[in-house]
Amino acid sequence: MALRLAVSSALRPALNSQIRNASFAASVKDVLANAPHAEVTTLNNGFRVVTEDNGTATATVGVWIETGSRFENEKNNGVANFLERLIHKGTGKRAFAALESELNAIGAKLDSFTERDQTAVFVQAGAQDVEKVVDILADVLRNSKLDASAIDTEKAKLLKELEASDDYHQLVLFDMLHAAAYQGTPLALSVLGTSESIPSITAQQLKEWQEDHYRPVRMVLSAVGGGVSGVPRLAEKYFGDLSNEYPRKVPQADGTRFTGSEYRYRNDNVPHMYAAFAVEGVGYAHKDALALQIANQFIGQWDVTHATSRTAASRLVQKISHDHGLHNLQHFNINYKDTGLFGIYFVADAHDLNDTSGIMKSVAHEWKHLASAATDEEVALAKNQFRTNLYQSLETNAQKAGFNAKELLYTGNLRQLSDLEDQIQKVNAGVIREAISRHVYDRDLAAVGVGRTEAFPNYAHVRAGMSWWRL
Amino acid sequence: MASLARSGGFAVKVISGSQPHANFVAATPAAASVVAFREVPAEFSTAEARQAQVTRSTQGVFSNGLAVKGINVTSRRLAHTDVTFPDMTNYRRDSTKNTQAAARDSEDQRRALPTALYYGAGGVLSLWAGKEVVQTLVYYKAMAADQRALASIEINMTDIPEGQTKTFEWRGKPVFVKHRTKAEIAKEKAVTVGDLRHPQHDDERVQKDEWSVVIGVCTHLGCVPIANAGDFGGYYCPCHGSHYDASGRIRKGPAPLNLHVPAYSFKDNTIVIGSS
Repeated sequence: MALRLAVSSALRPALNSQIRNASFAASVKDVLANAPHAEVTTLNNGFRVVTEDNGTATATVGVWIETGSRFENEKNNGVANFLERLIHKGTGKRAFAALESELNAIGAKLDSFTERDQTAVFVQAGAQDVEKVVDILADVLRNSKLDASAIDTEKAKLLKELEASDDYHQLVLFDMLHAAAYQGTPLALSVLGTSESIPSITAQQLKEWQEDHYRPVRMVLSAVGGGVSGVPRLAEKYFGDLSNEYPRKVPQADGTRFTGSEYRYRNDNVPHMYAAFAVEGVGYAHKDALALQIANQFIGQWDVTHATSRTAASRLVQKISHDHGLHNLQHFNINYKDTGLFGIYFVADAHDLNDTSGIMKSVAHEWKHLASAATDEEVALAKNQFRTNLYQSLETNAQKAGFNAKELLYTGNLRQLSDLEDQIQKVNAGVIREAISRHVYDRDLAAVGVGRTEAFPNYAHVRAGMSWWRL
Repeated sequence: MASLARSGGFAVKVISGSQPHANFVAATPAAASVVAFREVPAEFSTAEARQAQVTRSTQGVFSNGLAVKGINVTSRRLAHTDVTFPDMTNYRRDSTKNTQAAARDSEDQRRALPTALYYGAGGVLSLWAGKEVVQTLVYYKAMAADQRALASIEINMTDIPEGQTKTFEWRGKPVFVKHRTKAEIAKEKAVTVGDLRHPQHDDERVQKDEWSVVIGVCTHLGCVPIANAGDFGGYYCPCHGSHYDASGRIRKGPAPLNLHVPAYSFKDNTIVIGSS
């Protein structure tokens, strides 16, 4: 009898959920298993192409390149960003006006950005114009004109933007965070460059940068949308002859040494204190990367305009959304290829040391809670929020193309979303606790502040709060 | 999340330039000289050159007041990326001087002292606490000192002449100590073990042949036998007629076992009963 009871109670949830799934909705995993799969093709010269034909009316085709400010030095800081900007300025075959009118004619949008470790150039266009788009991409990446007048104009613009960037406190804060945390390594450099380095960049340097970095093994062509199944053939046609010869030495991103440090820029004309505290996270391919991403969701983000406060899903938000003069709070987890930053960014009135210390005390307490006492119920909640955010962020063609390219550039492999879902399902409280204990608990912090930093939390105090006890 | 750190995304934003401070602008007496600065960036390559230009530009309006100079200084400030993070190499431990090595790799080494302190001092303290617990338990469960003092008795061997048996009290029971004669020894050694009810050779029951020590409690129903009596020259139990020999072995009567031999040892001129 006891055995029967045990068996039937063990089976019941399984049976119930089967019935529920069958009659109302398929599980996330089933949905993803039926979603279009991405396919990877590698050309003879090492150029990788990833295509995902999802039958929509538009397509995003772009090239993601392993380059960026972490390959630069103090002398040529900003060159990767500079070159990416010049890509829009015309090629040997198409002058700027011709490039613009050709894109306009098919209603396409050429977009690009440069980060510390990658440059992306991508075009969003109608599904019928994929060949044209690949042609344009190959042209702008391989035959950029880099003529002197365009360079001078762009130089002046970049300097103006650099000056204006100082008003974007969040941007300044994160540049400072990298400068402090990765001091002494190229990761400390800003993508924007400095007002010394930008004027000194020459056409020759830009050309050499292009020759060194825009090599087939460092590039991934990612296409997502309708009519992209022929892209591997087009890639062969437009990129197949690109050679892997490096005229100079192979660019290396060297050094990821993290240093616990503090960097404050006090400016009382700024009405708030902008602050970030981060520990060293993990690289994109690290086995704990997913656990840290979910832990990141666990604390999440909040600002004063949110309707939730004491009823928020996040324990931390419930606690600190009142008092403390907090305006905005966002947990972040940045993954580079081989290192990362995991921490908290917040904006507060900072009238009082008690307020700012209170914020960091609660954040550190939450991290310690994750390291030692996270429960499966809490983790299940965070996982569901993470799922919604993640899959929603991959809904557009451009976002999905970026995801596919990033997977290939960072890990050399491509996870289908159904594989990713499998991995998410395997994460439980134990996995989170272990990952946080390994990477966050009792570890050094990089602390940065911009604005009214008079009441910036004391470093030693915050550091001591990173463990339940501390010698 | 990546957008937080993505400085490049900045490029697509509409930039309208830095916001001038209203109070400073109001104090500007010579608008023309301020306008001229807008073209400045293209001309400069170094911070020194910019600084020189600022200094030169302000000379013309210097006499007009500090506010103008203030504009020049604030509008020519360095970009945030121009501020270099100081080189801390001289303050670093040797293990973290290599920028190629991840900080994590040298962490165990750097944390050796706190770890050693924790486990060293902590270990000593917990060992001491453990000792205290064990000692307290042992003292609590062990025999009381007054009882332990009675646990053994010492018998002076010279008090017992050859051929005599004396009775002593040990832990509430009578103990017979018999100083045996040569004849008695020879007789007991010669007994055929196989014929005995409880077969034990004399050698198993004595440590020195001259001395036989047994507990004076009959193994039948617990009476106290009479020494130097009975058919076998040893002990006789008057209750039900058990006869023991000079080695204390049962030879006749209802008792099933030989008299028990307590633990004892010889020390100089004494026999210590209750210790072996």
